[in-house]
Amino acid sequence: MREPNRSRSAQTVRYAFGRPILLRIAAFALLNVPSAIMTVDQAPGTYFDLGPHLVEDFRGTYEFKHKHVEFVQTAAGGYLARSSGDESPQEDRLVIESGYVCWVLGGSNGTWLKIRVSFRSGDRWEHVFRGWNQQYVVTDTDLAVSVPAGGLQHCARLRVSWVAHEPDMEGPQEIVLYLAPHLGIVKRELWSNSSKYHEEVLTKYARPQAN
Amino acid sequence: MTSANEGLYDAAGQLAAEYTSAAAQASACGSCFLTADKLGSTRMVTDETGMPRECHDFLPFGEEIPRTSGCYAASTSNTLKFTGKERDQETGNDYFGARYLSAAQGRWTIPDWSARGEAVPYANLGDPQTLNLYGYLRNNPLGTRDVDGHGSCKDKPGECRTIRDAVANGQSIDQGIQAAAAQAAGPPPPPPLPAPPIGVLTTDMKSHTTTFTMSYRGKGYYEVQIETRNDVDSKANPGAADPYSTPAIKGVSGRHAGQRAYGPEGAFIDTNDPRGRAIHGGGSRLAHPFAARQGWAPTMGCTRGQNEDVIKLGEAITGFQRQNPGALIPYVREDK
Repeated sequence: MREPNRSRSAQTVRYAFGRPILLRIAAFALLNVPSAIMTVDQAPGTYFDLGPHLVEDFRGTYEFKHKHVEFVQTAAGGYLARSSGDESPQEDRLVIESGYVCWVLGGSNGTWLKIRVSFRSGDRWEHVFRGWNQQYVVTDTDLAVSVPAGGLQHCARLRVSWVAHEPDMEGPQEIVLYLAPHLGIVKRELWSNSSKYHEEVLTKYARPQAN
Repeated sequence: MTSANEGLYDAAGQLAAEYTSAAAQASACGSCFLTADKLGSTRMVTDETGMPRECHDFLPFGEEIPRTSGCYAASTSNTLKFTGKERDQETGNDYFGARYLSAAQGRWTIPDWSARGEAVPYANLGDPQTLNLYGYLRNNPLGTRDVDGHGSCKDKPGECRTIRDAVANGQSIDQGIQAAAAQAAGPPPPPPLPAPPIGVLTTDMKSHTTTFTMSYRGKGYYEVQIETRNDVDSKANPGAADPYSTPAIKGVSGRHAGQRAYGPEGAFIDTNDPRGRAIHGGGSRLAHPFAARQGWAPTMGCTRGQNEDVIKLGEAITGFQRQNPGALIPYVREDK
């Protein structure tokens, strides 16, 4: 794993998904998936530098499931998130809309995640998904996070919270995302009624060889 | 010879026979004709000329009322007396086939018996009188008669018919009784029926499986097993994650089809739990709750499976229910 860019002050790190933003979109490959293969061009000077062929493997608390996600740049310039593994193969889309990176689910077209292209600690925004009024809050930007893939510095923490009224989900819900510089989302926690019921961590990734 | 017409009336007051007392002193007839009352008891014997040669009156249990006047004083060689049964000349008992009835006592001389080896032959446990194996016609002899020594035709019409048919075909009453006994014993028992169809649905929360075990008549057992999870949301009601069982599931239900929490059509199996816990797919929290394999998410107490697995399980259950209408499928969710 390449060390995060330590030349920047951790206190002033600005998490940015700036242009070419799609280079960092691959960070979302780590969201909700055990592994990811990302094929993107390296963007010089950007904080999330994932490299052209990052392969990551997540293993969550549901150990019987393994899933791989591959981010593929389309001819049209967009990105597809192709997931496979024990769960059904899916093909979601990553799009940029009004300064947000949106993970759009294949089939339903619902925006599964909506993260600002760039954010600072304390930033807040909202997103309505499936009728849930989700509140996004950036709580930290200089955390040390340890995952099976290694120790990561200067990580950001993003909380997504809402109150659900579903037959199988009731009360306050929360998703906690940890984003590492140059890697993207390296850890995800799912909470329900202040009780953590699921956790996914980055266990392995590989950088592909440059063309 | 004096001549006075005398009538014989049955219990209903109807004239059963008419005779002339002048014949009372007559001796045995050449060809005798028997006149019976409604119970079959011989009340009068007439000769070929129609003259009464013998008369009888009986008490309810067969004892003859002694009379000495008119035709009551005479006798012929006729031995068929009370209810048409043969009266033994030496003992005075009436032969009914299976047993002798002692008219003087109003009781059978031996207890009832059955060719079928019953503990209490021809008894009706709801009628205590039938438990007395010596009693004649449940101590109620006025309305009917015993056919063969085991009871009245009313109690066993099938056997009576057999005896009647035998006699009508020229057989003796003994042969009729034997035929009836053979009929009562019945044909050889049919081969035992195959085991009834069995379907059992079980969720093992520890091994994360739900299994439907079914048997088809004589064709062995089949199993459909799928992976299931029982992680329960912290907001679930107390006891939601506990084991439970139901005597009979309802089966696949379309009640929640298309809802994110339950998955697509066919992925909901109603276990008939009063608390509403079922087996289903879906998952509100999941990105693709309707995908064939949507992933895992807690429930509020239900058992969660992957959509395609639950559908497969449901198809097996539906198929079993279709082939075995009315067969119950019990469900057990256990934590071994």
